[in-house]
Amino acid sequence: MTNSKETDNSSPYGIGRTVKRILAGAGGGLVLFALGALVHQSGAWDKLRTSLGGTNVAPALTHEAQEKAAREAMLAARVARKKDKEGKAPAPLQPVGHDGYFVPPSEADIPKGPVGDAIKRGRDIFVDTTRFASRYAGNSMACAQCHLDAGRRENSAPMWAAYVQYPKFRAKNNKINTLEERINGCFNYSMNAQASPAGKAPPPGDDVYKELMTYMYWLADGAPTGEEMRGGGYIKVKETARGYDYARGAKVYEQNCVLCHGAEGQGRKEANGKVRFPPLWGPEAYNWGAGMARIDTAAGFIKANMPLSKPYSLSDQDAWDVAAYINGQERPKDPRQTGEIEEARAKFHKDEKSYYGKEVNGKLLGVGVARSSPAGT
Amino acid sequence: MKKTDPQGRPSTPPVDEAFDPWEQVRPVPLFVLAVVFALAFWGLLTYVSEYQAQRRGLEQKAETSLLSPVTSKPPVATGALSGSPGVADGDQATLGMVALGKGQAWSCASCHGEAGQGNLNTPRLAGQPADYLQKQLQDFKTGLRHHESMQVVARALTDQDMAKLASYYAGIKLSTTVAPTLGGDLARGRAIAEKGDWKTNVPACFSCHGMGGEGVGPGFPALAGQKPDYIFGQLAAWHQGERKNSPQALMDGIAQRMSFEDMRAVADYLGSMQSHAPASPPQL
Repeated sequence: MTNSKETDNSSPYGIGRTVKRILAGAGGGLVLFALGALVHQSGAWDKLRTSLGGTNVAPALTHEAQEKAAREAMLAARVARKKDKEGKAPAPLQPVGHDGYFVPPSEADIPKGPVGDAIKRGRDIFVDTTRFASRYAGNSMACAQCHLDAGRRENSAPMWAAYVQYPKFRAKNNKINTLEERINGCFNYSMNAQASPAGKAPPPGDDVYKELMTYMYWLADGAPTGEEMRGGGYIKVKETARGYDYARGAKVYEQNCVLCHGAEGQGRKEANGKVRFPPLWGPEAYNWGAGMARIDTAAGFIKANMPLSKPYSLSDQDAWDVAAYINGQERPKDPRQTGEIEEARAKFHKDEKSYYGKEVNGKLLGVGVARSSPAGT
Repeated sequence: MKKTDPQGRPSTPPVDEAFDPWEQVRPVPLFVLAVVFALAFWGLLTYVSEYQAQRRGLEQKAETSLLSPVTSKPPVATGALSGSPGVADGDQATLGMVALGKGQAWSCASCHGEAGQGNLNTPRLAGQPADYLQKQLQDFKTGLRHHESMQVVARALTDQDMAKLASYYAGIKLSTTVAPTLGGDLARGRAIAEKGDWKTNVPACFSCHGMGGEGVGPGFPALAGQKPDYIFGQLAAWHQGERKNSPQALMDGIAQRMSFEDMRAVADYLGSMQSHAPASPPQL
């Protein structure tokens, strides 16, 4: 642009004209910029892009957005139904995520007030049992070690599915069990309450039960009673032709479990002494009366959840074998055993897949192993 | 108009009488001018906001380094105090490797800082579990973990050197706070670190690396106070299949299921956590 030349000889494009044009251009530019910013801010551009088929939402967020929408829809339907005097508003639907599993409420939605406080205390007991229910914890475990993601994870016996199953008849004690009685069982066996400072599970009506049940009730918000919910309990791993084997399991354990749970099944602790990876056998693990001490239950948990971040990575055979290896080790005794192991086996462990009262590597299992110092906290 | 004169020479080409050697003024269309200005505004605003963010970051950094004078304390003292096994006898040799290097290999401190505090892409070593550091050195030596500079260094070290260096760095107590550098969403980063994303099988970082991100020996390194650039770089390397030495390929799978947004978020969050390095590597 050799502007100077023209400005001399052609009057219509004089210097004044050029300045005017530049000013007009600057003004137009500002207007354009403002318009662009406005369109960007309003989100219309993003909407257009998504409607044209481009996915604008990060894939990691989609399942969360879907879960949130499912719960919001249920809550909205509840409000509509309450307002509707004719009773024609549709019943709220069970909130379900992209994978077809129930969506429990998010922790951010814990209500304020006494109920919310109880929910939070229940959650604390659930994830850090040895700290928040220390009187009744006789080992280094916590509810959330077997009920993953603080009791929310499908196929790891989630609490939203358990809550709607009680009261229930259980063959284990041959009577109708309330939810409190069921949790009492967890303390007696999985938390090995016999070795706790109190020496027993929380007494009936204890706050520990109330708080845990409040937490569970809240997690099950929107779940229908009576339904055996998808993803509830642990999965059942098909029995394999080769059965389960302690020796084969030792190899699977070495390759997949030692990193976190240790060669001696002792688990691992943080520098401050807090348990990071739970012990699987020995005095700090669940006792012989726990459901997890049964090989089939453990195989189901392992298959669907272990190693952490790699669910379903073990073959059925490996899951059975490693469960046999873990449950073929000595652990705290079954608190129900008063006489001989033989007798307790016939009475409490009759038809179950367990090494209780059997010999593995020339050692009779079920004798029990106790903490060196009682209530070692 | 073809004509040839009697001698058969071509006639001179016709001259366009209207030809003007001075190009006519064709003013730039107003619209183009406007677009140019709009882009200029955009650029200017972007520049200004970036500049401000950078300045804020620098100010924060200056503040944190003022807040934690521990950083500048000589590592020698803490190393000797920690009383971890390898340090006591081979003190001189270990410190030599740290500060001066060994043979062809340059010193650790030349990249990782005088107290092993790291810098940008160079990881912090202070307070890492000794077994973890030792394994990484071995992996650099064998090529299982790939890094040209570290391979040169690791090849110059004997197994004993590695053990001594590992326990030396594990014993350094160093409390630092690092300003986030990646512009990640800290709230999202915290959610991933504390709760994880179970539906995509990304467990909480803390479920293995310790509730304070302080690392759980022997296999899980400390994350709290690690350099965000380094954390992001490693996650990205796993994501792309460039780093392959995670036990049981755990981190490979986890990083592959993470979005880059989430990696930035979690790297920034973990880096900006207060690091509590254990005095001695965790037992049991």
